[in-house]
Amino acid sequence: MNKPKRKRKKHAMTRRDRAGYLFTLPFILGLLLIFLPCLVNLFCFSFSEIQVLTGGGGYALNFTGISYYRKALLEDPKFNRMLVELLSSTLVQTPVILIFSLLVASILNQKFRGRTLARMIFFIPVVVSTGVIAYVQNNWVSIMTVSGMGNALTGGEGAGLQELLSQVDVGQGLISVVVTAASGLNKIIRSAGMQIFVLLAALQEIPDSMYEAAKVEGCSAWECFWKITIPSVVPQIIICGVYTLISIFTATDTPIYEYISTQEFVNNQLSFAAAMNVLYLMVVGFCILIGAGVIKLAGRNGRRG
Amino acid sequence: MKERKIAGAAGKRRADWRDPQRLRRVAAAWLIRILRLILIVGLCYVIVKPLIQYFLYACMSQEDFRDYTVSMIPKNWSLFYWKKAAELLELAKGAAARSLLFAFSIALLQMVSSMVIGYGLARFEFRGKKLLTVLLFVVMLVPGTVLQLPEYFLFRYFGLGSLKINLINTLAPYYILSLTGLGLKQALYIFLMRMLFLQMPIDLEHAAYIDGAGVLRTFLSIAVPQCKSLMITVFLFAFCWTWTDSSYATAFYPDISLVSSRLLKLDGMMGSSAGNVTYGGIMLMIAPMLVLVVVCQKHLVKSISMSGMAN
Repeated sequence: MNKPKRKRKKHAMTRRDRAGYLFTLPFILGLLLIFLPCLVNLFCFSFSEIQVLTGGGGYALNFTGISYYRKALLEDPKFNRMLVELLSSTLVQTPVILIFSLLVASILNQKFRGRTLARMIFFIPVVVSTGVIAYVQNNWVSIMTVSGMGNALTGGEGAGLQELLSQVDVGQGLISVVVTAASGLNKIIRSAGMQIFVLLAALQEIPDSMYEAAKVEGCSAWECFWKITIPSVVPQIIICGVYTLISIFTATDTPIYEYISTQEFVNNQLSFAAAMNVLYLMVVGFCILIGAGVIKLAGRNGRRG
Repeated sequence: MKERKIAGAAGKRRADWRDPQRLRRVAAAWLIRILRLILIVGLCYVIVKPLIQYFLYACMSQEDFRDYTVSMIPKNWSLFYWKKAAELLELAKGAAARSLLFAFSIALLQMVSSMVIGYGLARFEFRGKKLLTVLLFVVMLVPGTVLQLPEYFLFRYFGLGSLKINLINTLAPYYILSLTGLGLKQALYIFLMRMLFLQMPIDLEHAAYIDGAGVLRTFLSIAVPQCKSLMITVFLFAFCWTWTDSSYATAFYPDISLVSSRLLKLDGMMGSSAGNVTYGGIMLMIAPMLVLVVVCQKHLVKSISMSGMAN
């Protein structure tokens, strides 16, 4: 299989191969005319003042140096904090989401009555809790809690539970931990939907005969899980890990996105927003690369073990 | 599955149920079953509960809204909040039809363009393919929202030289982005399509090619029918994510009334006095997506396992 490929590369492309350009033409055009120029422009914007010219002639850039970066990193009270918060929550969330989705996928992979229904229900958050709905949900719950109307109206995500626990008279610290975990569960389910399905598909590919053989050899279910299930889904765990990171960083219902886009489209602080975007992009890219490396390394060790 | 087998084995030898080891195993199997049931029902409850909640809140009448003894199930059922939500979302004024048409056409466009690009990246050995694949990953990693500002300027002054058109406040920018594979999360669809085509055996296509079918004909009559499930899945995702998108809506076409941007405004407009109107609005938005999920459910798992995410 490999040989002809290598040969073909040395020779000129066949006529058929040239058709590849035709198929990918939209993407090539998009990259050359939209994506790459916009990426370059973003950098230019962040280093300069944007001046919209009168008479519809477009806009001009006046170079200002790194002042907007200085503003974002040193002067702005919120940006730094939000960035750190996002990163620390990502650090906690990613492994939790991965473990949770593996757990749910292996449960959904078992045979039981109502499995189809359960799968469908788990799929609902993937499509439903996105975009404006996720935003409104987040926003709405916080408005309700702030205005103190929480209990009666929303039945609050954590409010009912909090009340219950305080009646049982357990410590305040414990209450906050439990309530955070319970309302966090919602968020985890919401962000784990896609991963559950990728892992579920992977689990279905593992042949039953493997488990039967292991059982004959005297493996317990626990050993089967660690020696068969985990090693065979390592590639999917890597994919899911990267996907989780990407979807956390590209979500539009995070406070940092909201902050930047407010600066951009409401306060008209274009260059400032551009500088923040560049910083955000660099941090995110760095994190995803590191994250992918770590997950890959862990996966390789897991496979060996 | 495992405990079922154990239970089955236990059934066969019912006679020696007093055997403590077997008894322990059967008990363990039942315990696992019960725990699993609790876990599944609990998690499903967490997912479904907000939907039921929103539905019930939206069904309340105004008196129930002020009545603090009503916590979940309305005393007087009414359509008041539904009507109010529909009115504020401007459903009758064309927002519903416009959003549906927009999401539908975008989903179709994204599906087709992702499929074509994915096929091109998977099946042909042209120069620069590796670079293009790497760039696909870069596009996937760069949050689309980061580029919205330069994209805004691109579409505000769209064109060459002195000929500039203002595309802001038209739907054109998002069509252009979707056509070129840069729509919201579209790199993911291209990636999935590419994986699927890489997985498919190429022999059939070679045979068709040798028999004299052109590249396009091979693509249309052999490759496309094989990826039906993934097409449906991509369509579903694209539809739902366009339908609920508000970030592109507020950036590129803020004045066009779409259901998603109306819901965002409704939320800001009403503040904490919005009462149950927002819930009605959310339910109205969710309804078409739920219908789609139920209809397409069969294809979802299948398509993901087919696209080779499983290998």
